[in-house]
Amino acid sequence: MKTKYLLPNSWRPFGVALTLITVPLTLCILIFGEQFPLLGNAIPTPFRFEIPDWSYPENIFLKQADGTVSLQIVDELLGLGVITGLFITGFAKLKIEEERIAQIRLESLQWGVYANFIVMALCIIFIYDSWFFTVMIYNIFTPLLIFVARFYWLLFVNQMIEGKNERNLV
Amino acid sequence: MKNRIRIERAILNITQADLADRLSVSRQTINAIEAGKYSPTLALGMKIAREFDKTVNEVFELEEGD
Repeated sequence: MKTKYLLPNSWRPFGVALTLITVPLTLCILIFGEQFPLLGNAIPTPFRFEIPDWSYPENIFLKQADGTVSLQIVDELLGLGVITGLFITGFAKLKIEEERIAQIRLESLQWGVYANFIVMALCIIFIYDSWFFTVMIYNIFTPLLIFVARFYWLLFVNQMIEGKNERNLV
Repeated sequence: MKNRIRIERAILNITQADLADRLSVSRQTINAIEAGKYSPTLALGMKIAREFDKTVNEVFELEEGD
């Protein structure tokens, strides 16, 4: 089957590894916040960078004499890592890429989009003020997260059913 | 959608894996089609029929609700 717009199969292990590293780390940061070793004050210099003040206008107190703002980039790197890892994991070809896999992938993607808009609708109804925007930021990741989770869950279930059928035939 | 793939395979004496190899799909897909859990696209349906030297109508049959 000709598949357009999918990444090569050889990228998949890299995507899976990146996801397995960045998702737990990001969860740790969300749970432990500044207390997490990667985020505290003792951030090594390579993980700090300076951004122009127009991209961070509300934090004028952090502004330095030269008009730049110094930030640590661990959370930015992890955010990019999560997106890249999940994207590659979900959109890299499987070893045998055929129409049933394409259908499972498409249905999983549909679940991801549904989940995203359901969370958004619930937030509009139940959550207000700055907490609303915080939840919305995390909601950006739901389509990819639900898509990848559902896709691999269905592949796993199919494999289990297949194994069961084989055992029954023996 | 009902189909006669299992019967046709038996006539040709080939396994699901053999048929899957010939069609460049996974064995799970052939298994799902045979069990009626997955309806193939027209292209794959035609390829399956061609393997058995039959027409699509001879291999696949619509059921109520399809």
